[in-house]
Amino acid sequence: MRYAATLSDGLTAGSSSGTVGFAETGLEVTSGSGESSLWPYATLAAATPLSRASRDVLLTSSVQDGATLFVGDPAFVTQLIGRAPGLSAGRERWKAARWWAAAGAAVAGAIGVLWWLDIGPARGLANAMPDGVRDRLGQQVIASMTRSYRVCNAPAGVAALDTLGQRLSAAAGSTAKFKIIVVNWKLLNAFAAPGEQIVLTRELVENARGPDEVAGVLAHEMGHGLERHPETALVRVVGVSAALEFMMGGSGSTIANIGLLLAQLNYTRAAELEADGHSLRILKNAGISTGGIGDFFKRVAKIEGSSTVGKTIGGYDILRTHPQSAERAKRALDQPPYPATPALTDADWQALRTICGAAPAQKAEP
Amino acid sequence: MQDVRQFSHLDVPTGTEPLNLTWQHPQGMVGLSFINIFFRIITLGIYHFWGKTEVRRRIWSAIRLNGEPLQYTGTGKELFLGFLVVFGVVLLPLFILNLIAGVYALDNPSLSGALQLGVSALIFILLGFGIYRAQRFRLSRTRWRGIRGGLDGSAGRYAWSYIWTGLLVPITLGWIIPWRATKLHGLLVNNMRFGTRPLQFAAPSGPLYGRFALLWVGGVMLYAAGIFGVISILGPSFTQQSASGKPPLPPLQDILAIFAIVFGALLLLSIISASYQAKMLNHFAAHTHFEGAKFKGTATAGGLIWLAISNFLLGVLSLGILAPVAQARAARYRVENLAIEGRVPLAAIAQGAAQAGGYGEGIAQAFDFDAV
Ligand SMILES: [Zn+2]
Repeated sequence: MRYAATLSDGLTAGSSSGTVGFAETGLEVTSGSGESSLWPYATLAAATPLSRASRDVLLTSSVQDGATLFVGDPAFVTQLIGRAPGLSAGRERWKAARWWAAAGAAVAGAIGVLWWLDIGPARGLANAMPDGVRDRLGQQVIASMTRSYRVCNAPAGVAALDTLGQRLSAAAGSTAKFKIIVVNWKLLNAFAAPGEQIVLTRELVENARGPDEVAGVLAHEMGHGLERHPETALVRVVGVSAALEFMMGGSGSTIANIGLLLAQLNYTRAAELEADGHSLRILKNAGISTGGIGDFFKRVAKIEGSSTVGKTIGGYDILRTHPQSAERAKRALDQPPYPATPALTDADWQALRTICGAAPAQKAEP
Repeated sequence: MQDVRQFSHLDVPTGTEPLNLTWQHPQGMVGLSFINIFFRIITLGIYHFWGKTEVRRRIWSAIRLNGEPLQYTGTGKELFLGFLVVFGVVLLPLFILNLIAGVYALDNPSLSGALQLGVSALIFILLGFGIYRAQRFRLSRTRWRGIRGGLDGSAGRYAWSYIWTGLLVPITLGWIIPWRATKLHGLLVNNMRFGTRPLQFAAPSGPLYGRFALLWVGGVMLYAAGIFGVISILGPSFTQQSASGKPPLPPLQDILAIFAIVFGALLLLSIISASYQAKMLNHFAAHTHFEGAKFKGTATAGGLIWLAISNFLLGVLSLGILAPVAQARAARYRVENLAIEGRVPLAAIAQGAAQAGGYGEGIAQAFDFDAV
């Protein structure tokens, strides 16, 4: 069985008609004038990978560089795949992909092992970050937040917050001095930003039942800061974005926006438990009761599930806790008792509650 | 074994042949799209370059001249190496510069601004190079009847024209655009060749200015109307600040009205823009010659708009997975609206010199302006 073919010699752009047939070791190509040559199957290449759906094929062979053979007959293609299976699409794709697929499996395995052994390269990088860089990153976060929400700055309130911050910083037993601000935001929340910076919302301060609750939240956020959780999360997001960009052959533009990245930070359950551990230690060192934070979590546990509070923004939301709040409340309230004094005097507490100005409108019971 | 060149000496026509350009739609592009995504996932994205190569091989092969397919001879490995080089030499440094600019944005805004400006300028300079080198890469890996295409000339010269005419765009309020497009197109086409024979392009940009004026005036008017509409709807709600310090959200019907205005303006503008594009494509084709033949374009505004909208929806609804299908549709439109008139002495056209494409394509890939 011979098939009609169009032949080109690869020397000029002319073409001529001829025929082609299947011989034992290769294609027998015959020109219109009756001259034949053999294209061994192993030397063939097809312009497009072949499949049963292919209607025609353009072939080249390494034995006759530049020459082409075009056959517009599906039956020829089917027979050709049988003789030269390497030309089929499936074979070609797998040949190109197999080593990379193996590499992909190896990388996935390595990530699995790192995860399992709890080795985080992001953590290491975060710890190696110079203080100056951490400070700047933190200021970026705060700046992006205070662009939409005013920083509350009633002088008496700022002084009270400072008193509480110093007491807790000293108890944290670190050289770090935490910078704390309250923003005029109607969302119950608290954040730790890189460079030992903490942001509380007006809603949180006004909803607290006492200074001990605010102290507990602050101690928890200080725990995140001491563990460099904000920095670690940032490194992780930058790293993952860069890898994704590379994988998608992307333009590099999405990773350039640091503000966008910071909005996506989120802590793991383990990180929250670590921060909780710190908060209990800091409160004890400071001689402040853990009852406040316990009560706070208890109330949060009630809101959870029913309310959308805390789901409204992505971020380091104290309410978006992975450990269930009820469980955390229990842990705080189960601490053995120790001598404690209120986190702030009554006068200071009143000053802190009104740090955002106008007398706080008492919220209804959640 | 006989030399294949002996095939030709008897039955090659000594005269000339007409060139009949047709499209034979490739089968299985949807399936291929999903196969490529699958392989990309299991290879951590690296298969991208091989997948793209297979898509090109099929699209090239769908383009038929006198019934015989074009052949794409580039490889996935070439594209991958090109991307690696550009990732290391261009993308990574730019990323780091951007990161530094971001970190310093707060306490040294002028340094940060200077860095960002520098990065943008660098990208602008690289764009011209990238366009030319990508074109050279693709042409040198395109064959018909075994004869290679090619792009001679210098990428630097093209990049220079690209920059200085680009800088004049804002200065001339955009009026240089048709002239610039014609000049840049000429720099490309006049350096293209098939085998040893060059393509010729010489066109005045004057005939493009009628449609461009319409586009320009329409654009300015729609922009003004859009702003006016948005302000008149949003204005009242901006004036009433709520106690919490945040402006209240405008009512739903206002938001819908804004969407309608913006959408309508964009639609109208894209109709005008498509009519300019169609005019430009056909004008450029009519002034392109190859040997004794010349090109004839039949693109229409309606056709281009339908292509753009349907391909956009295809991309969005499939999350980009069906991009190969969209590319094939775009290629189909171009081919089916282009004809070659006249006869060409094909048997007299000899094979041209091979060209290395190098990492040229990498820049185009890196900045996402790589169309096919
Ligand atoms: Zn936390």
